[in-house]
Amino acid sequence: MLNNARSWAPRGPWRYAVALIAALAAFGARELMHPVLEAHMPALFFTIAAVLVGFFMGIGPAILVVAIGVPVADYFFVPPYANFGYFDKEDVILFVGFPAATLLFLGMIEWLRRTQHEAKLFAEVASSRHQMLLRSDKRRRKAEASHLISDRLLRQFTDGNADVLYVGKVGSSYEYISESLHQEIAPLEGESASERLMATFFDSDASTFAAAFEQSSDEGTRSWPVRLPRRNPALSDLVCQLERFPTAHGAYLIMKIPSKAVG
Amino acid sequence: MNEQDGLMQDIFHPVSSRNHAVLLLHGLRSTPQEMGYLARSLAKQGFAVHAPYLIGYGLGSPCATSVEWREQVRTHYRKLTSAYNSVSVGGLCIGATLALALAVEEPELLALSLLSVTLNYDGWTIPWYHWMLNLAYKTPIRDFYSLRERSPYGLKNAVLRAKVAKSMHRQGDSEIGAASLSMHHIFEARALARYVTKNIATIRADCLLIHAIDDDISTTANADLVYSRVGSQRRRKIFLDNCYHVITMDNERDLVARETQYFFEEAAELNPKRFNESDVRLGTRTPHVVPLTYRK
Repeated sequence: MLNNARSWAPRGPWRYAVALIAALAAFGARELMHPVLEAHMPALFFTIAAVLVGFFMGIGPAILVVAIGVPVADYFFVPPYANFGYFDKEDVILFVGFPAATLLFLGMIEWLRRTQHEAKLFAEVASSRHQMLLRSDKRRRKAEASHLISDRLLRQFTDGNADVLYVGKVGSSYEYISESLHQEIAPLEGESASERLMATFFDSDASTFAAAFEQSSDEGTRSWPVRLPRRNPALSDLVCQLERFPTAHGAYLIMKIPSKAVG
Repeated sequence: MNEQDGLMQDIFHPVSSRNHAVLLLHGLRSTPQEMGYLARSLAKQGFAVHAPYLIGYGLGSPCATSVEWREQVRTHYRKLTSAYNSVSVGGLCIGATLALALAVEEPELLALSLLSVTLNYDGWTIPWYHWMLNLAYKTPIRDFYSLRERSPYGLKNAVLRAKVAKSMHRQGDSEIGAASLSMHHIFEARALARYVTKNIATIRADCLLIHAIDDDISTTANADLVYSRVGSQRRRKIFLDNCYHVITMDNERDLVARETQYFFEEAAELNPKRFNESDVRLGTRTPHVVPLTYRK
């Protein structure tokens, strides 16, 4: 059980004032009923008061009601009345039976109240977690929508620019490769465009390309010149510009022919 | 610089891509280090973060009055408002109570993240006779008695708790604070709580309350009280079950950092008007010197 389950009851010394008033009311009620009950059930109203106080105010004030109830009931409602000197079976039943039974009730009430409070707290945790989940889901959907828009924009951008040879997103499977570049790079079966590019580049440019993909910190836009060997050895290498654009939704690598401005 | 001096260092991340600063207030007789994880997380998300050490309130300095604590916090807040468009405030334990006091005095404050807010010490490690300390404070006992920190030290994470316990036994303090709380500190904390309780309905800043249901120092009744009485239109309450009092360091610190970040972001999005109003007010304020380190 939670340690704080014990704090289900209201706080403050005023609870003990309520217990005193309850004990006084129990005494008044028993006194009123005395002509009917006579010596029977001397502590009945104190038990009721203690149970009510235990249920609403906690076990501490309820024990106070019991502590007041035992001597008061014995003095006023157990014959011989108004006499503590005489002690017989009736007194023993009152002094043992009333506290034992009432404390048993109070113990059970306290346990149930703590369990109830614990259940309430766990219900609040469940509600909090549900709300957090909903908020996270809302953000995820928003990010997903933004991601889709980015991809659509990129497609639009690449379709209208023949100078853009390659676009890749770091940490994602998204890759665009132009038809002309597709013809030039190594035809590796089942491999991604980036891997085919790496296999085609000279070693130093392949390292540059790999490093651009692996960079974890977003230090702003960066660019590197790279040379792409042609399939036809008679043609000179294709000089390209490799650029890295960090965005709110991840970094993009763009390879293009630098002779014309793109975008 | 000894170990304690290291703990008492301010945490400051001045760069903000959002032009939004967060002031983080540590707990009573503690250090800014207990806010370190939250500070780093917020800084990574583009907030400028300042978690200052408060003299006369934090670990290792004689107790000042709660009025002096409030003045210090206000000074730090005003420095940030002069350098950033918007400022939100977070606090742990009595730091959260200080944040509430600041919100009473600075109505244009954007948002509050109140972590394990403590108006009453009523958690399960607080001794039963704690309610009598107000009486005891009026006697010479006030100079001798101190409330000792004891296991679990506000931490449910067993490994972290063992580390803190070792540090407490070895040198009498750790990043979560001192091994004991003097009566002067308790008395001033109660005075602060009275001030906040009296004025809580005047608070208009957005309020996020995060509290552990098995908090060993203050129960969820504290968060409930703030939630029900605060005058803010936008309030959010989150209860956690896998941590104790020091929620910025314990098992669910990731969640605390994430929810605080989300709440501050949403506050900035939902209150653009308050930004503008606060800028106007700031412009009419008496100018004050801002150290270069605060400038963007």
